[in-house]
Amino acid sequence: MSAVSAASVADATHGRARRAAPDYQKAWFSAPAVVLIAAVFVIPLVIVALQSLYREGFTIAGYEQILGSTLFWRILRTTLEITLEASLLSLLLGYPLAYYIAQLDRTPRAIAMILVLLPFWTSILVKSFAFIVILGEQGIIKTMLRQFLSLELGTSLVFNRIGVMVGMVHFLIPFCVFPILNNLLAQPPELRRAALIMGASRRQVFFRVTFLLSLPAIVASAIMTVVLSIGVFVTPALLGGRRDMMVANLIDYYTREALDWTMAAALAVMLLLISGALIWVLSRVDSIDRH
Amino acid sequence: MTVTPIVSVRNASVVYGKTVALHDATIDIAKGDFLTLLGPSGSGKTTLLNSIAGVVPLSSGQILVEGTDMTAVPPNRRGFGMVFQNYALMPHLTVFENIAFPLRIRHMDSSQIRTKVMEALDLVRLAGLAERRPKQLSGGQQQRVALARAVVYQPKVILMDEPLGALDKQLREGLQGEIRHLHAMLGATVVYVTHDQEEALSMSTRIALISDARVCEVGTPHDMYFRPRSVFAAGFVGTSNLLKGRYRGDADGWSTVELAGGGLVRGAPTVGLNTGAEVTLMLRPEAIDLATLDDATAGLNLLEGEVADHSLQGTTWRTVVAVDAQTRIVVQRLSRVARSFPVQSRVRLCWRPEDTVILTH
Amino acid sequence: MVDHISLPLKIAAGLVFAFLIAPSLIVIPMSFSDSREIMFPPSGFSWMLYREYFAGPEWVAATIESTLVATGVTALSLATGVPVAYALVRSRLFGVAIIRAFVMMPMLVPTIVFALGLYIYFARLGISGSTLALILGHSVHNLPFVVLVVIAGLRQVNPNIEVAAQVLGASVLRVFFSVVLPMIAGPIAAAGMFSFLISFDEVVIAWFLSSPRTMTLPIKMYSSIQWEVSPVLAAISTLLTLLSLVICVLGVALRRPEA
Repeated sequence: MSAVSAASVADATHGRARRAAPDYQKAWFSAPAVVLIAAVFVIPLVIVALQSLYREGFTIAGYEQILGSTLFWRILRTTLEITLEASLLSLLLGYPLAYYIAQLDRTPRAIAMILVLLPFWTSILVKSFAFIVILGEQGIIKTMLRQFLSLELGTSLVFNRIGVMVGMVHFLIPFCVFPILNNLLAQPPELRRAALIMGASRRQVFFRVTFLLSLPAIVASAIMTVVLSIGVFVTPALLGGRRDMMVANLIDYYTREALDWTMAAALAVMLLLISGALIWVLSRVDSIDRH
Repeated sequence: MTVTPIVSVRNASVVYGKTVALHDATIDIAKGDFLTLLGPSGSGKTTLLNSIAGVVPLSSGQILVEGTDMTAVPPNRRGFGMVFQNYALMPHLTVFENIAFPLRIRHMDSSQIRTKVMEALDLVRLAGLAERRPKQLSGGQQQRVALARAVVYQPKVILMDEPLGALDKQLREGLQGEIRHLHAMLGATVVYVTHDQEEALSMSTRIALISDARVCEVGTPHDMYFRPRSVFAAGFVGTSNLLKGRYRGDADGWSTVELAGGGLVRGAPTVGLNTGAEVTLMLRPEAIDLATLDDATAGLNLLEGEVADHSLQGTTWRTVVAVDAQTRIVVQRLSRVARSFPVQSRVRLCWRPEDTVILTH
Repeated sequence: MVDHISLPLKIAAGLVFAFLIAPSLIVIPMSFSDSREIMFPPSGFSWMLYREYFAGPEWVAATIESTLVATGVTALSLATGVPVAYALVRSRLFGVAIIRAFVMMPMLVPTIVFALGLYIYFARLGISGSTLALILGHSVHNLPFVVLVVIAGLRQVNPNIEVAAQVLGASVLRVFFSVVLPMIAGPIAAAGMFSFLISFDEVVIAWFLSSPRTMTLPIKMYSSIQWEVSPVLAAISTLLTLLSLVICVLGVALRRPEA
């Protein structure tokens, strides 16, 4: 063996392909985005973390105050209740819709998708305004009940928990439909046909094949809806009542009215941690499912 | 006096983590060669082509172009041309602009560009389609535009990665002819990748057989077909009958092999064999003739057997003869001249010693 | 996926569809009401509410501010997002996985947390309440989405076209500007339109970052709903819904690159 090939054998056993120059050059294209995120996202988050520990000197007084406050615990409980209920409801309503759309032919499906996309892309304020009109005392539902059924509904439908739930679920359903729909469309039809031929009833095919295969999408939807819900601000403010204040509204209160940045920041950090914990728990569910 | 090969690949290896895509490949390409890299899917032939192009970097080894080490040179400065299976034409440019693309990069002036592009279009016989867009053309036409684009700036070497794979049989044969014509007319050097051995045999001046990330064998089509040097080559290029046996020494200018199932066979003289060594014999189906047990067969290798299958393929009769319980030999003879042998009749297979290839690996 | 569609499923789907569409549809007839009372169905037809919107200096100013911000956001999010999407899809370096996670971070953090951070940060920098602050905040908020749309578009393009361009002699920059960008013009336009719309409708970041002189349209609407639900909101809502519909349809149509 000549010297050249002996050296190459030694090289080859290192087992790495040297990267070509174009790969490095293309990687530099990410520079503007990285700078933007570092400067306008990472730094603000770090500032929130620092602010939460600072009130005329470094202190954890902010956290102590929060954890000792009954208001906080009540609002946290409200937030978690609303988050979990809204996520669950939107999954329950979104799954059948996704299932239905998956059965359609191409053109009707495209139209159905636009019908789901439209509320997705509609401003939350438009939606909130519309629900106030629909659910209000002189609103559509109550007016119709009065006129056609001579029924005077005792309870309000808006500016309370009902209003918040309606608003949140309406907001969340499209986020459930898309991942589940993609999953259902990607399932090869042969699996269902095979199950039918083997004797399974339609119900069994659904529960033992289709539903199980769609579990990862369900978990993904759950994660997304939880992350979205936990930090909502507008819906409880406009459609909810005093008892429906969520953590985001509390943060707003401390920032704009109490002018207590430390408390606001501490709350924000807590919200981030809770949100992160929920994501972590839900992704565990996903991996358990794989075994 | 040796002429510097236009491209030299020296001990090139490409490794991704645990996967070896190419191992220690060494090959020289002479100016004017039409070298085909032939092998099954996943054999590493495209990896080798891409490393020559510079698109895939080497883990070790070198690529030399006219003696200069180009291993670290990026693909846009190697001065090659390349044609792909899925054409890779720019959808937003007209046919004219697609072909003009490399010339514009080289800052050629407009009138020169116009001349050269029209020449290239004439070469591939697409002169009237200059203003069309790729999606308005058929697959065959798109590939011809890609060819024109690859030759218009007179690159040193033209690399082709299974360019005819996406076309149907008739188109493929037509374009094969056009590519050979281009090769002859331009005096270009071509490195061609395919898994189709018929294509390789008909188009190349030399074939490199690639398998399992290694260059197995390099030779002319004639050598590859009539004198393969490995069992893999014998099996991959054309159909072959393979028989196992042991080498029993030379006699009368022929090498003799004792077959596993019994019987002595004479084959082309082969060097480097040890007595008693295990060898494999290769016989092409068209080299064998069938004779009845009474025919004269002086000087030929002989094997007796029973006809197991016999069918007309059109130009040939295809006969399968069972020589023993495990061995079946396929024989192909021109239907115009050959006799027919019914199934279950006993026959003799006869062939010339010089048509027997003895392989050690 | 075609099984037979059972009637209960059709009814359930229909009800959910109706629920989803109802708000968007309700505001339309209401915007043509001739009365200042909020009622449905409206008593008569009139352009009164639209006139109130276009004639109201505060509404117009808010609309202009929103348009200004959204335009700036579209430009900045595309200028940063398109190149990074290209890097993520085409550069085979190990580090790109980290960059991807980095760029997607804004999607994982609740907007309120980010908005608070921006508020304190920009206050300390002295640019709080400015249009620039809004543009920066929204651009970061939209970046992950822009990147996802462009990545999806790039994945549908034959990568050999760029390889061919390189072998033909084009440098990496030349390939990006002369070959890649024209091919993904559709997805870029779609990403830009969606970014515009997201910014135009965004409330939380705007609530924290805007000042009385840089009020965006959503903020004005938010304040309006909180104080008293004015019927002019129906007209504004209809126009916004129209904008959403147009961008939605165009965006979906343009998402696919020229094959």
